[in-house]
Amino acid sequence: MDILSFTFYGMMLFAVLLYYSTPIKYRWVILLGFSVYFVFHANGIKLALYMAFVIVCTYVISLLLDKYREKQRLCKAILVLGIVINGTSLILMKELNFFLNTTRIAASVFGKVLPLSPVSILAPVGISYYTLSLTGCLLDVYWGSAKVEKNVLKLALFAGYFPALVSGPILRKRESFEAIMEGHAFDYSNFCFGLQRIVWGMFKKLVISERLAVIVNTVYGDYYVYSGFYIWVAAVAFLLQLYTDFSGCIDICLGCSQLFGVMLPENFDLPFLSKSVSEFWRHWHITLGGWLRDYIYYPMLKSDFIQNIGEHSKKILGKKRGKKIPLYLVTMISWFLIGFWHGGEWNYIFGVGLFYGMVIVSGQILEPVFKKTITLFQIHTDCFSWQFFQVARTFFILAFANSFFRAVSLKSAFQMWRQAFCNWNPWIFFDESLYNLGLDRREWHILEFSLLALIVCGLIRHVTKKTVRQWLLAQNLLFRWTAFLLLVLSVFIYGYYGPGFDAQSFIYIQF
Amino acid sequence: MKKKIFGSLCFGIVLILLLFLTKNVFSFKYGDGIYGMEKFYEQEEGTVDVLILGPSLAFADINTATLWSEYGISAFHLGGSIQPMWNTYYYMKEALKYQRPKVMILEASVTNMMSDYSDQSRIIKNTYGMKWSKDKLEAIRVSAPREQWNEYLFEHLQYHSRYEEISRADFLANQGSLQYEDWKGFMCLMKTVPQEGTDVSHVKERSELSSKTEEYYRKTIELAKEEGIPLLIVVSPHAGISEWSQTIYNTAADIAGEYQVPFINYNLCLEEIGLDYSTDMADPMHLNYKGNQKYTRNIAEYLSERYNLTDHRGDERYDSWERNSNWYLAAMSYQEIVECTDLTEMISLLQREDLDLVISVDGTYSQEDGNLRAFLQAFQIPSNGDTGIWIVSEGKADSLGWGPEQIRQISYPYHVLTMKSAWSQEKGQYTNSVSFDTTFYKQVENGINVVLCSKVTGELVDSFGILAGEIEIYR
Repeated sequence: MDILSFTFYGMMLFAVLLYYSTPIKYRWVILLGFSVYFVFHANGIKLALYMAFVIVCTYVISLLLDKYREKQRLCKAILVLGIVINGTSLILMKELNFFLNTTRIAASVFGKVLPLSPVSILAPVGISYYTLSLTGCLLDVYWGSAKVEKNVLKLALFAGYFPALVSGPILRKRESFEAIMEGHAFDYSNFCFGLQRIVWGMFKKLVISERLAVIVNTVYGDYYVYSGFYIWVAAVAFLLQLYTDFSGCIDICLGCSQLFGVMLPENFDLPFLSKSVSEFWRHWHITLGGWLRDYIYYPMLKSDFIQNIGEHSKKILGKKRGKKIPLYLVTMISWFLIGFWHGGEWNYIFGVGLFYGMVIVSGQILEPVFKKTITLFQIHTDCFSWQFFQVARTFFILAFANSFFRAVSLKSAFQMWRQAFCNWNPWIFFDESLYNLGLDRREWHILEFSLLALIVCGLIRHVTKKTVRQWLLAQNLLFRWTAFLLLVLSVFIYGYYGPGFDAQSFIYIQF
Repeated sequence: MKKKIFGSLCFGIVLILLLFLTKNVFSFKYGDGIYGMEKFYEQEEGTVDVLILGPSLAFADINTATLWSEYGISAFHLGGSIQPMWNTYYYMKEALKYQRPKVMILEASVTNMMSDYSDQSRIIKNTYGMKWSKDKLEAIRVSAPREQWNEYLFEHLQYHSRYEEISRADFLANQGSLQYEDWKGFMCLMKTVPQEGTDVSHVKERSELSSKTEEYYRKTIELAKEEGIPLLIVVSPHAGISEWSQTIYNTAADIAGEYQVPFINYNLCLEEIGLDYSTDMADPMHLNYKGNQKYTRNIAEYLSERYNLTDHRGDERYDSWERNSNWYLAAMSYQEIVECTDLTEMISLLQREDLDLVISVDGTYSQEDGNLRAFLQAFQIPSNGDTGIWIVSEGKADSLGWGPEQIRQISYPYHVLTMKSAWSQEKGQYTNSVSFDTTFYKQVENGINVVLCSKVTGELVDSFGILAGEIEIYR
């Protein structure tokens, strides 16, 4: 079910009315009912049952974990079983082609031809999100950081809560479970904020992202035709498209959840103001980064295996250098997993994973060199221009990396960047070349004004440390209403929807 | 809490008002389908004597101005572009809720339509003009495939993307044109494109209509019968007719015969009408302003003889027909001017009182230039070599005057004609500019520039220039 469809908003209206007209104690049942309806509508019966199977397995295993808490080895074995079931369910649906392709390529290196062709599998909507949420539940129960859930229906609601199922955020039991399960009384401000957030999300998606998609699709679709600055324009356009698409979708989902009074964790926090790649990932897809940090990165760092590697490396490289080896190793593994989570293709694994790992690790290794360079050239690092340079540098690294995310394959991405550096065509910014990328002059102007609005809202948030909605609430009525009315009318008029437009689906819905 | 809810309600009302205004601006205003229906709702009850239904072969060929000015017949076109028979049926059904015409004319050239659905644009043009009712829902249901119903029912999905084509006409009443103030749905094609035509008189064979077209063709005839309103079915003459189409029209005539409804295929009566495809066609399918008058006279004679139609000329209730007719008669008469390329003939054509002529003498020209002198003298303008602007209205020439900056404006109901003459120190002479709204008209730098605006239509009729030393008219 498309979250921009009339059907979805019809369902939302019905859900909200029913939610607030039900006794508080049973309101979670309403959310469960609509989540079940959403899952069945979006997935069909077979995939819905597949999802139900994973939920029931997680439920049973978490009960067993709780029951055999005292028996360490058995408990560990049950945990491994649970992780294997969840992991396999995800890999079977999402990453199978990665193994097939990798095996085939590896075999061809040794001169063997294996008849392994990619398979087309339709995965349940939200599988990448609910699998991580459920696996987190198991680990929380194992570590004793969260209570076991004894009501399978509540666990099912937690995994399949429909506003979070479309493209996250990835829920964690100790953060969001109670917020979903406890009934919320109607709160006027919350409700209005929810509606405003939905419209803001639509603005990002339908007005900005869809226009950027036209440019991106033109260049990436025929990448062999374009070179030089066209590639940079497309790379920047895709980074902005990805942000407005993904954060727009999150805004709509969080806004919908807020209509029920359920506040879900934020997934974005002004990511393009980050001064480094690692800082960026603390502000972008926050719930994925947090999940990996708490359930993969730290546990792996503390594991005996990695500790042993640390001891050995200290002996070989010396104490100062050797102690960092486990850190680098775990960093690279974590980034590999982030890339792998995005999809079983090497362009994802490199572009959204390993590349960032390499940038972060090399940044740490070369930190002394950077410090010396800064001292040598007497660069002031406590001024705006240095911070601006850091922000711009990070932005272009991200644009470069994400182009691998968008490209058809790793090979085509490298080919694109070879073309980007082999041709010098700055005139495209002066003549009308950019109008040949699918958007005419008028469409470019709409895009530019919309991006300006986005930047202004980001700066308001950055300067005031409040959400724009809170900031607007403190303004005079006329200004506030004008802003909201302009927002609604912008979506109404300039949105890419209806039969005249070929709207793209949300990028992160596929994950 | 009450205050907040009240605030939200007010916000909601403002939002709805704004969306309503947006709808007015953005909604489709196609003359070939939607606007005609909207105007039809504005007609005073009981004033439409002849209702004409069908596609462009109806509303571009049967001239309501001729029907009124020569016969006093109050006719209204309720049609749409390539209007399928099912839309004609619903248009008729809708129309009969508001008017009781004395006779209805059904133009049946689309009986040769074989597909079950029109394209998106035609579906819109043939349904969106209707007021919301069960019939409109039904019209959309039969016009579009089931999976597209939602797209057509939520109209804003279709029109919100019009931001790319929004213009002045979308913001003004009557689309900012006198033509639409009293519009009766007729669209007059002015250009002439000679056609050869096909003789189909020998075709006697019959072909089947598509089942959907036949179903609604019969339903349309039956509806007229049920309502007790006489129906005349015609096929307008068109050069692009094919022999296959004629076989369909033969069948359509047979079906009409089953119901004892008169059916006239005017493609078989070209001589009787006096049509000449080399001068009377605008394109292979449609008659031009000369052809549609000939054709209309023939239909008018037929109607007058058989349907006891009253001559409403002089009746105040029908003033809008008078104004509408005057508009079209004027517009058609200007076509001679627009097509004229001979200077002497042009001088005689411009001797009329319903035009404002702005004559701007620009740059340098020889006082000995006979053509320019003759033109200026014809309008009592001194040809002494001075530059300047003269306004000729009702046969009198009035100079804009000379000074550092002379500006004058003539206002029409929806437009403004602005003239400016100013002394240019750099050139050592007066420089002139003439604009209609914000568009400037100047064809020649040295010579005479003429802008013609009509007092009747309120529109710019023509603009041309005569270059010093030459006899040609530059447009």
